[in-house]
Amino acid sequence: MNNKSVNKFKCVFLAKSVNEGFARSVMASFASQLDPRVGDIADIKTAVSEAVTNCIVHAYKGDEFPLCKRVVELTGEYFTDGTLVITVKDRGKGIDDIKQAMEPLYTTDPEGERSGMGFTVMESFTDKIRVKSKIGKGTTVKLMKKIAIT
Amino acid sequence: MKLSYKYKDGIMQVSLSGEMDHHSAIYAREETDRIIRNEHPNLLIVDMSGITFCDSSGLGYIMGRYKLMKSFDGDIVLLSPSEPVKKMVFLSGLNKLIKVEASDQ
Repeated sequence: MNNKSVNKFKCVFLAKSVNEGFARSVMASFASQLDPRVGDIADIKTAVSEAVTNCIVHAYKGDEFPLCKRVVELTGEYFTDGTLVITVKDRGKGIDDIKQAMEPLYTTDPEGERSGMGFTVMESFTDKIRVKSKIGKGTTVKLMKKIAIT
Repeated sequence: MKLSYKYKDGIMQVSLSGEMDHHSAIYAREETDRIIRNEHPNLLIVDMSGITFCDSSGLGYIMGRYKLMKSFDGDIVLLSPSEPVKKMVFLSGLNKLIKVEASDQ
């Protein structure tokens, strides 16, 4: 019960593919405060990259979203027990069937050469994943990973 | 993302280095396909030893080139994948479909 928040950051950026690298670098830099192993940093970067790519590829498909509204909100927070919580949020179209979206190899965009492995990678590279989505409102992906004892 | 290639006697080797994500995979894909269509190789060797980061977009890139080479009755080999690439390839089971070779002969 003594698990308290130690540090937190939030950043908002446009859903442009060039920001995928930016997002994972920011998160890796934040997570480095927990003195993680090299492998943990690699896992965090990959999981963040997958979550952010989903927002960029899927969330704002269609004409109803003006460029300035196509944003991704990235939050990082870590706790006294060394758990890092990553949140990737968009205000896009939402996911109709989350269970199906999370199935390995399921993709709505095969022409874009999406492998359909995004959620599978997030699941295997972190300890816990929570996905919340509302049609027309957006999607929030929460990833949790235990890094170290601070 | 940097891409270079060499072609000799039907064998084309594409060497990729840098970070492979959705953003850079688009460039890698367009460049690789342009070269494949120019040279019509029988065998495509993709050298991914210089890839420092790879997410599932890298899988999409490999799968896409596999399909393209197969459509020409060609073949594809993954050469010396770096750790991040290997992790993705083995997680997805792509190694069962595509030949992975440790190093250059």
